[in-house]
This record gives sequence, structure tokens and C-alpha cells, in this order.
Amino acid sequence: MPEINFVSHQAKKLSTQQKKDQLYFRYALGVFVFILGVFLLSLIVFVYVKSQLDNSLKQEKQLENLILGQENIEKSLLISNAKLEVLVTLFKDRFDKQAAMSFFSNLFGEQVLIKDMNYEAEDKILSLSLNCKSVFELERVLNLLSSPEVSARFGQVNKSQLKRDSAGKYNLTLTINLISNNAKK
Amino acid sequence: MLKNKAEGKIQSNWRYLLNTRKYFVLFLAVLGLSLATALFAVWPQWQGSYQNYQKIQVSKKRLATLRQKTAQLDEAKASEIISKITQIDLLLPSQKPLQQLLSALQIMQERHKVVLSDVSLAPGEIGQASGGTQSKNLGYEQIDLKLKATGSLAQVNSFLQAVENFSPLTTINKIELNEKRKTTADQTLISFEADLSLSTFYFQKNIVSKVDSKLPVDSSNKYQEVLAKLDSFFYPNYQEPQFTLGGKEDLFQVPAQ
Repeated sequence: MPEINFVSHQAKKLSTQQKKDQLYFRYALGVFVFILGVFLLSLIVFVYVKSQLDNSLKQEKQLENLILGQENIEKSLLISNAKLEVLVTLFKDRFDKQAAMSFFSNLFGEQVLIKDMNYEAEDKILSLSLNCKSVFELERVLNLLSSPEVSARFGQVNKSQLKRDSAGKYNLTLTINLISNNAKK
Repeated sequence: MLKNKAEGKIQSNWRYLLNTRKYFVLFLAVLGLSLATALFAVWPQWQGSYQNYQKIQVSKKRLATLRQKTAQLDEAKASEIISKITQIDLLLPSQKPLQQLLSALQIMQERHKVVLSDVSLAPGEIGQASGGTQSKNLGYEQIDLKLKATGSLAQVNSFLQAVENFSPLTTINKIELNEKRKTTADQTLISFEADLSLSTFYFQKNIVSKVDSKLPVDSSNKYQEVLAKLDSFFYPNYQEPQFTLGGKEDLFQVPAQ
């Protein structure tokens, strides 16, 4: 007759379960130790990174103070740069006008008087009113204005308002567009 | 009674569980502790470290900018721009240079022996808040002035050349040259009257800078041409008028009553 022992069977089953539990516990302990290790590592990293950040911020502060101490130089430099930028523009405008005036003054010589000058800075249009002593001078001026030298430098030079005054002198107005002249260059 | 019986059963179940499945309970406890450590200790640390790392990266870039700026400021002390700052300021002042302009014109008048008359500011434009005419946000404004210069042709010519070569920066927009003849008993005197429209420029621009904003790169080379031209200008020795307020002395010596 077979022997039936329920207690032994139950004890055996319990023992197997306890062994499994023990194993799971060891695994869990391993995981915990690992996490504890990670925690310690992260603490070290955190402290290191924080000290680096503090160091960097300290350096920033030192440099900021150094820069603030030279505020006057920075201010002067920035304003001077902005002023020079403006001067570049103004000099460019003036240079175009002055160069054109100088060119025509030298071209016509002392016999022809540049009587009036009008410069419209926005449109860069230069108007010159010439005063020629005689009709021969006027003819010379007209010939010079049609010369390749003038066309090459200023393109189309508009001639208008040709008048003869009571003293027998001839007045002629020239209009030069310095923008188209610049574009040609 | 029933309640006590049920509680006692639960307690005995727990006791049984602790006795038989002690490691399982410990397993659950350690697992929970691990999870709690990971969630509430490790994760915030890493998060904090990562945020600090990002801050360091930003700080490093800022440090590089600040170091560059410090070096630039050191270099700037010896730059040509700083050495010519007085000339730049005189040529393009930051305030309306009406008095400087009139002072310069007076000096030029004496130097080139011309007579200046009918000096007037462009009507309607002096009343503006800035006192000048508005340019299209180009960084400058201008004062328009009209005047007449009378003298011989050579004198007028030299005066005209001088006008464009003194500080504050002035340009001639319009010239109308008229010949004036004055006949006396024995000779005819010829003089020329130049009707001039001048524009004098001054700087008007807001400049904003922060501690870490970059400085313009070494611009001495960029502006070499302009810097070289600065020496060719004439800078009249203009001194701001000094106003001394009274009140300290009893000028009239009024006897006290």
C-alpha cells in the first residue's frame, strides 16, 4: 500500500519556493547594490560638475568685472566705429562731388568760370553753371564735353539753359548724375 | 467577535508568510528600495548634473566671448581708432555743432580774408527736437546753413576749399557765384559774392552694448582710408563757453537791515 505523506510533500514544495525566493532576493540585492553604486557615482559626478560650473561662473564674473573696468574704452571704440561708418558714407558722397568738380575745373581751365554749383546729395545729381567769356570758349567747352574722356567718366552730361548775358558772356548749365557714373565704374 | 477573529486570521497569515516566504518579502522590500533610490536619488542627481553640464557649455561659450573681448579691449588701447578719437569726435560730434561751425567759419573768414554775411539756418528746421534735419536713420543728422562769402575770386575759391576741410564735417551743397563791380573815379573794383548752402553733419545713433556683446572686429584696416584723411582736416581750437553762476558773493554789497 503506498505511503501518503502530505506534510513531507508540502515541506519539499516550500523548500523549493524558499530557494527561489532566496535567489530572487540575491538578485534584488545585486540590483540594489548596483543602484547604490550608480547613486554614489552620480553624486561624485554632480559634485564635480557643480564645482566646474561654479568655477566657470567665477571666471565669468572676474572677466565681466575686467570688462566693466574698461567700459570707457569700449564706449569710445563703439562710438568711434559707428562714427567712422558714417564718415565712410559722407566721405564717399563728398568725394564723388569733389572729384567731379575738380575734373571739370581742370578740364575747362581758368578761362571758364564755374559760376554756380548745386549738389543734390540724395539723388547724387550735380549741376554746374559755366560762364564762358566768349563764343569761342563756349565752343571749346562744348567740344570738351563731347570728348571720349568725359563720356567715359560721366556718361551722358546734360547741357541746358544756354544764355548770353548783357556782358556778352555765355552761360551753360551741366547736369551730371553721379549715381549712373558710379554704376559705370 | 467575528472582527477579532478575522484580524487574528490576517495576522496569522502574515506571520505564516514571513515565516515561510521571508526572502520573498525581503526581495520585494529591496526591490522597492532600489526603485525608490533610482527614482528619488539617482535620477535627480543625473538630471541636475546634465543641467549643470549644459550650463557649463553655455558658460564656456560666454567665457570665450568675454576672453576675446578682453583681448580686443587690450588691443584697442593701442589701436589707431582710439589714438584718433579726438579728431573723430571733432569731425563728427555727437551734439549739434552749431557753435563750433560758426567759430570755424569765423576763423576761416579771417584766414582767407573773405567777408561773411547773411548767415542763416535753414528755416523751419531749427525747431526740431534735435535741432537738425532728419536723415533716414543713417546714423547722422545735419544742420543746413546759408551764407554769403565775398572777396576776390582767389579768396572765395580758397575759402570754399577750406570749408570742406575743417571740423565739424561740412559740405557745400550749393554755390552761386556773382561778380560784383564797383566803379570809382579812377578804377573798377571786381569782387565775387558766393551764395552758399552748407550742410554740417553730426552723429545721432543709439548704441547699445552688453558685457558679453562682441566688439567690432579690428576695424583700423577697414577705415584706413578715412583715418588717413582725418589728418588733412583743420580742427579749430574751439572751447566750450564757461558759464559761472553767481549767488556766492554779494556783488551789490547791500547793507543788511
